[in-house]
Amino acid sequence: MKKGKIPKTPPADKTPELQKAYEELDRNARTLVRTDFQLHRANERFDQQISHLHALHRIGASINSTFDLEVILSAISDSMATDLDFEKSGIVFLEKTGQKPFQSAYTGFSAGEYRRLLDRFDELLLPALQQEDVYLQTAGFAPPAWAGFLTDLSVASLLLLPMRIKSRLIGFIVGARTHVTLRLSESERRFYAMYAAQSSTSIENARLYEALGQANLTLEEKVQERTKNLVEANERLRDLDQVKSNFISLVSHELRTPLTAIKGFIVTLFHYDKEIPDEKRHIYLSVLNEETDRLTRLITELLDISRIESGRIDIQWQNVAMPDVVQRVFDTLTMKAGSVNLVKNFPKDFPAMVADPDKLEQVFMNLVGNSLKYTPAGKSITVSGARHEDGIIVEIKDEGPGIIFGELEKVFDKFYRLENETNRKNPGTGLGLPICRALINLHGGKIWVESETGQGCRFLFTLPLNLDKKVVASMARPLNGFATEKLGLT
Amino acid sequence: MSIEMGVGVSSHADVGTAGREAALQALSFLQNRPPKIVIVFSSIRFADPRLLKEIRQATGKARLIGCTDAGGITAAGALRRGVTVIVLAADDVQFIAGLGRGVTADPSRAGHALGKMIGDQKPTNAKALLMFPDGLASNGSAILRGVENALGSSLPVAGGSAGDDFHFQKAFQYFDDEIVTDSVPGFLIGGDVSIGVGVRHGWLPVGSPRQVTRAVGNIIYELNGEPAIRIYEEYLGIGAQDMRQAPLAHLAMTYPLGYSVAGQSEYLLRDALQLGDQGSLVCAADVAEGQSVRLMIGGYESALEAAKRAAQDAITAVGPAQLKGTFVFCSVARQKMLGSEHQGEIDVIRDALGGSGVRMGGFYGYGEVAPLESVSGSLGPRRNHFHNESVVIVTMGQP
Repeated sequence: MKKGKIPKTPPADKTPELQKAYEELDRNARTLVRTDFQLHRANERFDQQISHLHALHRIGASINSTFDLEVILSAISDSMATDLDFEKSGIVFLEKTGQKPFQSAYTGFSAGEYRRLLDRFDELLLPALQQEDVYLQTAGFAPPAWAGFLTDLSVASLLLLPMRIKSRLIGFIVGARTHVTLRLSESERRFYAMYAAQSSTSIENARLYEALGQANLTLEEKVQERTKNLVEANERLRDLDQVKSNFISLVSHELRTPLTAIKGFIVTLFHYDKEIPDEKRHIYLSVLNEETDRLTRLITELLDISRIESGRIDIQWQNVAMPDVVQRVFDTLTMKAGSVNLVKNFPKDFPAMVADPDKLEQVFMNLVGNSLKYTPAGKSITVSGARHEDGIIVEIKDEGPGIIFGELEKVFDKFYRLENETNRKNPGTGLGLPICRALINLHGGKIWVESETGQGCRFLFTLPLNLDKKVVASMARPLNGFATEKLGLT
Repeated sequence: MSIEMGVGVSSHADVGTAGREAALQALSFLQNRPPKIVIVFSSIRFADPRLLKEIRQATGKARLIGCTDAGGITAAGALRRGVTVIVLAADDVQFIAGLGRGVTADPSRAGHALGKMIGDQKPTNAKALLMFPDGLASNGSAILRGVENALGSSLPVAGGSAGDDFHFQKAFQYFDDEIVTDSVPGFLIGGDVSIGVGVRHGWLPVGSPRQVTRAVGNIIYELNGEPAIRIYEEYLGIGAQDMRQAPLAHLAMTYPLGYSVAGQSEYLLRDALQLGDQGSLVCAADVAEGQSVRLMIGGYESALEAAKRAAQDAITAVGPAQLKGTFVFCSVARQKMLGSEHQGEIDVIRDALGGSGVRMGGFYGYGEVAPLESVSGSLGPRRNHFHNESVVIVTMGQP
């Protein structure tokens, strides 16, 4: 390297060739420097791109190694700081509508600054996110609203990167520089767009994975539920089978009793016809007549109950005035009642209701008829009605001997008959009350009995008003385990 | 006990955590000895009170000084986007810190304020001063004159200018808990210690020489009677368009102006930081009128060779067996010029100093300060200089 004074201009004694060579050398130097300059700028761009790729790779490696959304969010927020120098950064995941922040992570912002940032979501952030893929505002160049916002957050530059999946905004990344006023080259803009796209994909993957996991879980739960249903149904079928067997043996027994009597009298009449006096024959024939009636009633009621329980019964929904129904029943029973007073006690404003009048009549026939059997002459049977909660309540009260406490619920069992003199003299079918309960249930009501020995009986039932009729049918309850509902295999 | 140097780094996402990590890592070298001074260099992201708070919490009462940079340097290599914490423990060595403010308005006065603050603490057996002035638009040589006015020109001064990750917008300096700008922090090393300094660049002159026909302080108005900017327009082919898009410092960084200094093998370099009025160039330090300057160009081989020579110069003054710790202040232009090879330069320096066990810390900045011959040589007046594109290596040795 030459030292000492360098002349301002070539010495005057230099030959023109030397002067020319000197100028050529300087021109060459310019070419050399320009080439070197361009090379270095290219190199710098390469370095930047490599560092960008490195950042993308790092973010990819860290967020693709997990499907945990929270971990991904904070990894992205941290990467904005460690790989891209943002003093303050955050990532916000929007709720499904894309209109409201839902979940987020941040680095560098104070809690207050971050809250102030999100407070301006509707006003400033959302419009900006819809506007550009890489949105930058810097102090000194920002419009007044943004300038104030930047001051409020104590930052010089704010970068917003919308995250989209199939053009739907799912969230955004925010990066802020405290001191540096950013200027983005085209390649930097492209990089930030890629960075946001990479992040969106990871977040979407994590969400899909989570959704898949959830679906798997739901599926498993469903399988378990179905299995449980099947097991239950199976058990119910077994129970039903048992109930059916019990019922058949019960019915066979009930049918057998009158049939045995009938057969006995017929055999006697058949073999000893000539020897039997007319008087006795008449008694035999009237017993035969009664037993046949009882058999017929038994079979009719069995058919009734079987229809109700199998859901094959048709309910004819009509507007019904309950007092009229009761009156009709009283009219039918006047003869049978004899000196027993039949009293009807309904308030004037007793509401009309929607029900099947024939079925209601059947219920009253059963209940009042039943009471008649136990009510001594000169006493009363009172049927009264009243409003009750969402519907009405009806009471059939007699002045008979009453039912002992332990027997109260059993009276609604099929073929259950109280052990007493009345029943021995005048056996019923044991199906009247079960039928009543089934019919009241079909109407969405409840029936029960209250009594104390010696104080008479009070049969009570409730019926709802304004009932959804479809619901009623499905509410039909099985009688004593005799199921009417279909198996719950939906 | 002898000097012990600890160096720690971190690039944690959280600023406070990064400070704590780097400080604890640095302290682990001291084997429970308390640090006498804490020196912090960091990327601009960490210029945050939480950084200093965490570091000071870990390092106790020791004075803290430092600045923002354009990359950290340790024996492990160059570090982008991080914090470098250096701690020094010593028994017979003093570390006296000071701060001068307002380097842009009056660089000389700021330098004097730094020198006075240190002088007032009565240093004994002063060996060298390390300083970290704001590297943006300040006149480095004027700061240096101010320091020399206060402490005398025979004291070797070395160091590096604060940077801001190549943004050329705003750099910060650290002093205890304070983050300041437009200032010059520094610390004096005194006592039973020997200091070696090496400074080289490896840049070469290219093209014909030009004369500085008009200059005031660090502003060159005319070269060969033409606006000074013409030299860049002609040689780099850059026009007004390029200069609007990027700061001149960004474009001209690896092509400084150089002038020869008597008795020196290398040219002294001046970066053109800003485009001034009337096509003038605002340089990082003084350029005298009448000086003949040339455009300078860097090359891989000569740059790496220069780094090796600088390390050798610094170690010669101290002796490899006595080396206790090394500071490295490297121009960001070297990082840019060497590109992905810049890690190689740190390797060259470390290997020249003795290999992997070397304790070493420093940063990439916007300017360098160092005396222009090895410290072991004769003490002449005005030997401290401001440099660009250079690597300054400061070694501390004790027998």
